[in-house]
Amino acid sequence: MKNTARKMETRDDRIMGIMKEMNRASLPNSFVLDVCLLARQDNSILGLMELWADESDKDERAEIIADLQDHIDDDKELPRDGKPAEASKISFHNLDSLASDIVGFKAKFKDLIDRHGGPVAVAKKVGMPQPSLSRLLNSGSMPRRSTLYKIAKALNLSETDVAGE
Amino acid sequence: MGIVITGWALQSYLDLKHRHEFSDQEYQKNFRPDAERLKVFPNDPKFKVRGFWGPATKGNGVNVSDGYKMKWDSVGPGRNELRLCVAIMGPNAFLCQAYIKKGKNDLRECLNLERYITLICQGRYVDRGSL
Repeated sequence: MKNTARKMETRDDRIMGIMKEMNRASLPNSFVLDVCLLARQDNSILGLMELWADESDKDERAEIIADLQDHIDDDKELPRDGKPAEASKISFHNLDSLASDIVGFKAKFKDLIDRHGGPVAVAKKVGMPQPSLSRLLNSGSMPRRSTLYKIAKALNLSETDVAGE
Repeated sequence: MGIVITGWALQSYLDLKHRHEFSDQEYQKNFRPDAERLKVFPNDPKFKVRGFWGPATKGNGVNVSDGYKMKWDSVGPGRNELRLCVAIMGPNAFLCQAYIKKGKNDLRECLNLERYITLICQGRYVDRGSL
């Protein structure tokens, strides 16, 4: 989408235009709907959508989609009572062991995903964008419990099967 | 000034560590002491060095409100450019995320920062501790 044409459009027109493009790109309907709702409230989300629409590089586009899914998850999960979520404090000296636990968990998780048809098939079953599942599998960050449960449900597994003990 | 480590910052740290983007030595000798300069923000002279500290911009010279970047060059075996996004709000500096600048990701990361700042303003973030 070109900037000059964009200036003539209303905010809703821009969101609808990108929504159609996201549907054509076969992104899951629930993702497209959630991201459009968020973009109506937040300029940075709309900015990311526009960045995705303008981007030609496949890898960067995938990163934008994974970022948008993270923002959707944040919006659903973060508290709305004005108080920051309390999480266990991790001391710097424990970060190495945490990082190695995550790597160990992800190796097992990758096996499980492969046993169920691989990332593309599983992402489709779960209804999540494939770049988000790829990020979950390949990054060193902690997976969200909510995402693991969503995957467990879609694969007809117990939460323990997916998230471990 | 208090330095708050957000959940997003912790996640990005773990990912960069996983990718071996920097060494423990670099972290302990450079990045952490530099981040701790935020305790006396803006009085440390290093905040006047443009190559080290500056506003986060969304492109076209538009700044992300309350958003800043701490910058290091020639980081790790890849001699990469490391960026730490910081939100300065009231009496606190919020560490929001760190990333390796490559290709066109700078604009995307600034938009992500802008979203984090919106959420922080609403008290919607995970507090993972302080420096």
